[in-house]
Amino acid sequence: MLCEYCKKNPVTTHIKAIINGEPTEYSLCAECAQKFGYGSLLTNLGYNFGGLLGEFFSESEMSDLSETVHCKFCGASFDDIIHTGKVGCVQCYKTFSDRLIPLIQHIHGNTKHIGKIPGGNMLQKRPNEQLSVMKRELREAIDTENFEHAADLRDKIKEIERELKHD
Amino acid sequence: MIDVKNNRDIVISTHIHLFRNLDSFPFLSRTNHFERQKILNLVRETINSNDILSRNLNFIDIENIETAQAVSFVERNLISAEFLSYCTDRDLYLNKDNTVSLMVNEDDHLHLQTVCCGLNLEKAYSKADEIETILGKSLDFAFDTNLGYLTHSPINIGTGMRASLVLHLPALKDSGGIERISSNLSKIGFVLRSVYSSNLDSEGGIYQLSNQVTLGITEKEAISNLEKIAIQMINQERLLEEKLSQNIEIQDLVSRSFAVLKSAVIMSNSEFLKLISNVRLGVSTGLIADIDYDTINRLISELQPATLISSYSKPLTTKERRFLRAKKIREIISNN
Repeated sequence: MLCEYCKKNPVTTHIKAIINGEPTEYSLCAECAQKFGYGSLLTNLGYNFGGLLGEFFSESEMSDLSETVHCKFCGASFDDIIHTGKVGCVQCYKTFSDRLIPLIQHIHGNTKHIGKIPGGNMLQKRPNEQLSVMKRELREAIDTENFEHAADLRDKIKEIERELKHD
Repeated sequence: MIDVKNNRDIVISTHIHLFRNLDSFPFLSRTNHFERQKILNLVRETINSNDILSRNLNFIDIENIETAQAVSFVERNLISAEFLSYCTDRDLYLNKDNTVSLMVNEDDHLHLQTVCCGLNLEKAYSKADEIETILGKSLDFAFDTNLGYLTHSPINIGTGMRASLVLHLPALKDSGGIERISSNLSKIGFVLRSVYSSNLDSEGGIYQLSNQVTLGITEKEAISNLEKIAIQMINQERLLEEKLSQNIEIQDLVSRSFAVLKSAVIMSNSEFLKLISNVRLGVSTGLIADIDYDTINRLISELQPATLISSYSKPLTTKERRFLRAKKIREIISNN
């Protein structure tokens, strides 16, 4: 069954309303249900970010923001982020940090992560910690005569050390 | 109290959501078809190449299954409604008993959900953490030293974890206290909202309580804070229920509701939600002894419109659906 309103997406929500004294039933898709203010258990787990942006930045600030800085990685402008309510990519957090960090502070009351960090992840962006993990793994690889893996690790370690020097 | 294991008199279920993105791709709204396919392949390879994951997670071909069955996944909160609306370039994995779901390319690249019965935050989290850790060994998650796990919405950055509890609060609802509680909770970083309707006047008195702060807090702290709030609400609800159950009008309502459920020939979903809520109240206050929480939860999950239809091979009219719902209620209760 397709949504009665947009006639495009499958129905996920049934809504009952009294209109002119008549009980009426609507069958809507997720997008339209959301538009009319009906959600499910999984909606609103943080997806109303667009609305929050509007609240956070005053109109004059919003128009100031519409200059044309674009994220080098994904091409998003801050305008795009406001209009879609979605940050474009990892790099956007750096490119627009002057505006996103105050907003993040406002949402969470904090700007420093203290929770879980990626454990077995070889490409994580914490070079020093990553190096020590990799070196340990390299030793293990050599001990267990897993030379192919060891060679691979050695190359990666060199690469990171080179990057660290450049920093 | 008859059965309060994991506070099941008040807490229907515990849900943990983890949001993760792959570092080398833009967030979903700025990906193209090829990038989305690459993400799907990377996740698929990761799952297939790991024993634990491939044994437990089954691939569901969400694009090609019957619509009713897909909507039934939404009703049972295994996937979000949005996920279903645009199901191209998306993958879904579920475990056997539907307590783990992994949506790939939802709003973030990965949305992992674990579910437990009753109040069981630690178990649900450790399950999610275990799967995420395995996935993270092969997948390069977007992570920043200061901001933690990066998500498409700054609302979930940091731990990328939202924990939520589904609560049955008929007495608090009846007392008119829900709105006050909800507004107080929002000031200290929690959200309380109704599950089956858009405002706080929930049909069936079923609410969702979740954490809002994900940055500057560890997963354990977030969970333990949520649990503390939940315990306070549970205690308050029990006190009010105790009082309510002394009221002969409530006793009458509970007993009538059970009688109607057991004998009705046609039943709409909203009538059902009201009645089952009264019966649940009857069980938690000891007014009704011959039905348990498992049966009630099974009724709630299996009798929603699409879930009901998906167990049938042909499409049903509203009338047929209501007839079928009443029939199933009678069957499930009598087999109880």
